[in-house]
Parts: sequence; C-alpha cells; structure tokens
Amino acid sequence: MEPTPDPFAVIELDVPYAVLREARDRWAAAADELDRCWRRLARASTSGLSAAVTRAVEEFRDPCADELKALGGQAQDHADAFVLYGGQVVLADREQAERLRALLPWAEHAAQVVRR
Amino acid sequence: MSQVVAPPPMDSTPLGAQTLGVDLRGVTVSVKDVQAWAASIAAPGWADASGWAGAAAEAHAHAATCFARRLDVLEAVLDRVVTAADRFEDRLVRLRQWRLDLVAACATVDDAGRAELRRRIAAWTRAYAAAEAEIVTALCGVPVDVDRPDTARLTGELRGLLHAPVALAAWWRRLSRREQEALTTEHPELVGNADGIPVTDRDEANRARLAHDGGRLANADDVQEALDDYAPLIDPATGRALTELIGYQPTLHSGDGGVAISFGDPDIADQVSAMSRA
Repeated sequence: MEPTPDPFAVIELDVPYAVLREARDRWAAAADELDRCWRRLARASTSGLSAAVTRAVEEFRDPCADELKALGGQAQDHADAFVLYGGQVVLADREQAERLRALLPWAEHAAQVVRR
Repeated sequence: MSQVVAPPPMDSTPLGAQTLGVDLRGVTVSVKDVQAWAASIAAPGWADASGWAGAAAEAHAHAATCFARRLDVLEAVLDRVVTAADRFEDRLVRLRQWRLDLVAACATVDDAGRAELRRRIAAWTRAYAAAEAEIVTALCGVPVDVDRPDTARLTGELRGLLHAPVALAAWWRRLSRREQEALTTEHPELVGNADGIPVTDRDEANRARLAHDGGRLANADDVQEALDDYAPLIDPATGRALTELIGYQPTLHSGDGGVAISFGDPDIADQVSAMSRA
C-alpha cells in the first residue's frame, strides 16, 4: 500500500539559489531583448522603397515580428515561473519543480526534486 | 524625329535599401545575442535533434533547448534577408549611377545614337526590374537555410587577422556576401572596428550594433542623435547616407566611448582630411 503523502511536506529542487536567480534574470533579460526586437522590426523602414518592395517587406516583417513577440512572451512566462522569496524558490508541487528544472541550464537537468 | 524617353525614376532608392538593411541588421544582432545565450545553456547537440539520443525526451522538454532551436530558425531567415537587402542596396547604387549616365546621354544624343541609347535604356529597365524582383522573392519566399556560413570558423579567422589590415582586406574580399553578413550580425563589434574591412561594411556593422545598444547606453543614444542630425545629407556619388560610422566602441576610454564618423567614403576618396576632438 502506497504511503499517504504528507500534506505538510516541502518540495525542493536541489539546485543552488544563485543558479535559480540567474536563470530567472536571464529569461527576463531575453524577454526584454525580444520585446525590443519585435517592436524594432515592426517599425522597420520602408521609406524610399517601391510599392512592390514595401509590400514584400510587410509580408516578411509582420509574421517575423509575431514570432519574436511570441518568443518574448514565452521567455517572460519562463521568468515569471520562478517565484523567489527569502533566498528560496517557492514550489507548490513536484510538477512545478520539474517544470522549473526544465527552465534551467542543461547542466542542471538531472537535479533532484526532493520532498522533505 | 522621335525623341528618346529617359529611363523612369527609381521608386526604390539606395538610401531606402540602406535604411532597411540597418533596421534588419539591428534586429538580427539582438536575436543572435539571445540565441547565443539560449544555445550556451541548451542540451548538447541542440542544433541537431538527432544529437539528442539518449536524453531526447528530456531535451525536448528542456526550455532553453527548444528556445535555441526556434531562435536559430529565425536567425537563419534574418541572415538571408539581411544579405538580400545588402545586395539590393549595392545594385541600386550601381543602377542609380547607370541611370544618371543615361539621363545625361539623352540630353546630348544625336540621330545616329538614338537606337543604341534606347537599347541601353531598355537594358537598364530590365536590370532594375530584376533587382526589385530579387528582393521581393527573398523577402516573400525565404527558405530555411541548410547550408549556412560557419561563423565560428570565420570568427576565428577574423580574430587572427585583426592586426594585419592588408591580409584582412584580402581575406574579407574572398568571403561571400552571405559570409560577410553572417559575421557582421554575429560580431558587429569586431567587423565594425577592424582596419582592413571596407568602410561601408564597417558602417553596416556599427549601425547594427548601435541599433542594438540604443535605449540602453547613453553613448549609443548620443551617437544616434548625431547621425540623425546628418541623416538628410546624401552622398551624391552613391545615393546612400553621406555619413559612415567607421568606428563605434561605446565602452572605450573608461566608458567615455570612441566614435569615428566619416563624411563620404574615405576608401575611395581622392583626398581625406581628419579631425579629432582632444
């Protein structure tokens, strides 16, 4: 018979806090950079170009900017997934811990999720 | 006696293509920056899904690995488009000069030369249409590139030649336009400040890096402001912007920065005078 999970147990990810904070900051920086990127691309100049070239620039620019925007949003979601408080990462359950582990550098991909 | 109709005006101008190239390169530099970080923390063999054997499921779930691959596709697309924009700009510079010659010829042509001049104008019209068609095709039907320049190898070679301008100039000339553009957006800080690389290529690299730095470094904003002040000045020889940003090192001199701007292209000028602020 499976033991009943302890409702007061704490889920921890066996990764140094500095690594978690660095990962969150880098995802946030990537989000900011990609946000700037899509806005800059969306404003890419078509002045001094013929109507046909302008249309082609727009056809290229818009989906490309959308992709950058989507990637920026994804990076921001990843950054937001790190809830850091008082020198610790706050984890609700094993699923969240595993999700967070997938956002860390590959060197941490085997980090243990432990229940204490 | 029928007159010769002058070639039609160019709806796309060298300056328009140059400005588009600057904008696209700035975006590409930033995308490469983020992609390089994602790749640095991705699973080994991130660029090739077959290299994920053994840890494939984990790698597929690894956010930075998926992110690096997705950005890499975008990077390849941007590299292709930047190269196409650069080629378009060069072609427009040549077409503009060709057109000016034809317009001048129209004013002086005699009866015997009319047929030949019409033939030359028709050739110009076809060449202009071909240049437009090429950039439109490149923008609309960008294929995913399977044969991309090896920027890591090229960067190593470039670094090895940084203090040998003559050798660097010869090496740079041997590169394809795609290789040059890939290096320009991967390492604008190297290309933009390397003696031996043509001024127009250095300008492209430095403007790309300037666009990347804009809003983050006060020095970058100051340089952009200075370039904007001179933006209305067009080089009569090429139709491109008169100013060339031939040196841009925003963190040089303990953060004061170092910048070199030329008016016209000193690589092809008969005479060059230099001024520097003490």
